[in-house]
Amino acid sequence: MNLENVGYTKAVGVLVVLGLALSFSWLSLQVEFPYHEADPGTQLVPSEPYKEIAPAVSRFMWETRGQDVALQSFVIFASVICCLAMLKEEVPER
Amino acid sequence: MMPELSVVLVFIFLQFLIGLGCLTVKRDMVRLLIGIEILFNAANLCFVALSSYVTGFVDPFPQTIVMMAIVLDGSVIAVGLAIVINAYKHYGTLDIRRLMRLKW
Amino acid sequence: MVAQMIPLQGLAVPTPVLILVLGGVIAPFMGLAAKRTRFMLREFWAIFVTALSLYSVYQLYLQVEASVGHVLVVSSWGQNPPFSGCFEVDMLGVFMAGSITFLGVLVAIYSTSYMERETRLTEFYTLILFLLAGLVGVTMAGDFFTLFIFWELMSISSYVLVAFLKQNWGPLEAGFKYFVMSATGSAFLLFSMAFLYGMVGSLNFASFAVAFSDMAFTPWTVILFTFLVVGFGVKAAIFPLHTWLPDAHPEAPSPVSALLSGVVIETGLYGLTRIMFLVFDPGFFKLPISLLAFLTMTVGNLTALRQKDLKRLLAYSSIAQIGYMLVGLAAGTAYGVMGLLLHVFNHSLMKGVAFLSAGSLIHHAETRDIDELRGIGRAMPLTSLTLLVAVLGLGGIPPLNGFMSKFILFNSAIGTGLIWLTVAGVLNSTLSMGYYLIVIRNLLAKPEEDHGVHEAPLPMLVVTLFMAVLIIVFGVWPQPAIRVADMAAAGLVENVADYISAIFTP
Repeated sequence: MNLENVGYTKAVGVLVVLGLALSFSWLSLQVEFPYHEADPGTQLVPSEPYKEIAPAVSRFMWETRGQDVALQSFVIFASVICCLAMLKEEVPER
Repeated sequence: MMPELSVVLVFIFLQFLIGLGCLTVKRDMVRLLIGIEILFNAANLCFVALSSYVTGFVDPFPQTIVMMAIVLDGSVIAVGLAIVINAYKHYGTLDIRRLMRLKW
Repeated sequence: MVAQMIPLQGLAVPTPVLILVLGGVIAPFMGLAAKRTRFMLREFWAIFVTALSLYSVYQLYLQVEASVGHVLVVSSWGQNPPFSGCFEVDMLGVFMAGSITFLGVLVAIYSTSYMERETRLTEFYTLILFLLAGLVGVTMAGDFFTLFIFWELMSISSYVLVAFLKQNWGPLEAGFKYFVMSATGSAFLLFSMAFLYGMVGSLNFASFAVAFSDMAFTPWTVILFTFLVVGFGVKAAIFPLHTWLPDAHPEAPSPVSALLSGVVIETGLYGLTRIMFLVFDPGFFKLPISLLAFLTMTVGNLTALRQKDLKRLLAYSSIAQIGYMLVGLAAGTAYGVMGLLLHVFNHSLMKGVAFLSAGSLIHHAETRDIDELRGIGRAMPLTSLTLLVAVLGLGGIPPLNGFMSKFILFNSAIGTGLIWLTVAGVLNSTLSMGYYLIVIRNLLAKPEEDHGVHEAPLPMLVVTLFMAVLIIVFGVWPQPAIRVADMAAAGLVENVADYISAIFTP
């Protein structure tokens, strides 16, 4: 895209986005989302004592998703190394 | 009372499309990063919305997914900002229409 | 050697992932030590870790082959799989992990001499190890969110590795464009995960297979399909979403280009294949995927004809090869997927050696332009020979390994009635020889002035010669690769029941 017809690209982009918004809204209101049947016994948290939803959710997270939480720490470490690589000064090593 | 699932999904998709629109229309590099953040936020909201549609119960599973997705998404944006800082040092401007030196 | 019982109470992840991740964590300390002692500690640590992970992938292969139903489920802290993150290692995961770690070892050896004069080498080797860790983790994940965590690990490492040589403007521009497109793809992937959770109730792959085996067809499945194709397709360079690739691959350093073209885009394709066969019915996605395959092949080949830059030409050729692999996915049978996997392995070898030997040529000649590289075959005979072998293999000439995998791919498309796709594929393959021959002609031409033979440094030369020999060997004797690819494809397409029962019965 050249600098002259950026306006056209913007107009086309806005029209596409509006078209998608309208079609998706129509679709979502006509056809119901095929929601799964949840089983209230196993792992759902009752929403009645409102203050106790948060401790129950965090207990659930540590019990069933602890592995993913631990693996995430490596992603954070990798992003620190990435930022170091990008922001370090270029000093010749040898 | 809580609105129906379809209405909430319409609004979530609207936010998704706002994020996509921001990516196509804006020309400042940092605004493109904000557009990506909006996209990730819409996806997280979709998880949260789908967690509360059994009456009387809350499903903790998607909430744990959202907590982890926020962390991942933040680290992606951090790396993106590091790249933007270096691009600014070269081009002198944050305008993405100037980054067109690599053609065919 | 699947579970490694460290005294942290039952920490169990598949060993290659653990080795690569711990290697990546320890590598900065190796870098600190290397600054004091002036030893090449970083390079040797990278080569050691990748070689160890290749060995452990081989052990894992033996263990998977000996186990019941060829599937192993690994998850930590005694968590029960349908709601927790887990790794489910089957033949397909081992095959892809083998390709990844094999190319990883060779790239680590190559980059000891290619990146010798660069700065920030500690971060380079650490990020290469994290990239390989993310790739192996994606291929072995059994739960969609675990896949997403490793997908992001792979992505952020690759963004910075593309933009690594930040003293020039090219890598930064290419890196930024790649970043924006790929982060958008990850957001689409997360969105499709939300839909899948809504429809199924958990994010485990086996739960998907169980729940979607009798799900009715609603417009929501079409939306889900679109989001999944966009999410995986940005990384796999499928037609409308491939525009980051011709900028990112030439501007990255050559070992990183070889890894990107050789395994990263194939891992995107692996994700797409796995989800397609677990969630949708093959008749459903045959038409859209075959259309995408046709467009990807044609656009890749036609645009490559106009290129003057050697690495950009090879990048467009990668897009075309992804198009050929999509033909195997469109066929929807185990034979087609076997062709896809075999072409993944062969392409990683051929495109890997093409980028690595192109990197050797460019390292010597300081230019990427094909016309200026004219006659370099006289100055660097062995490296040009390896580039010649790689390019002939990519075109599909018989005694080399590209021929066998392309033959299986196009044959499988005929088997399911997509004859137009086979015709298009064969025509595209012939068209691709057009631009490969331009490269060969420029390599073999007579230069204006004869500078004498000035071959590439020893690690680069040894790696490229070894891979070229492997291309010829696998071309003449493809049986081992075909056997493993066959077991992998059968495990994905036909024996989904084994995959499900490995998680749900115990």
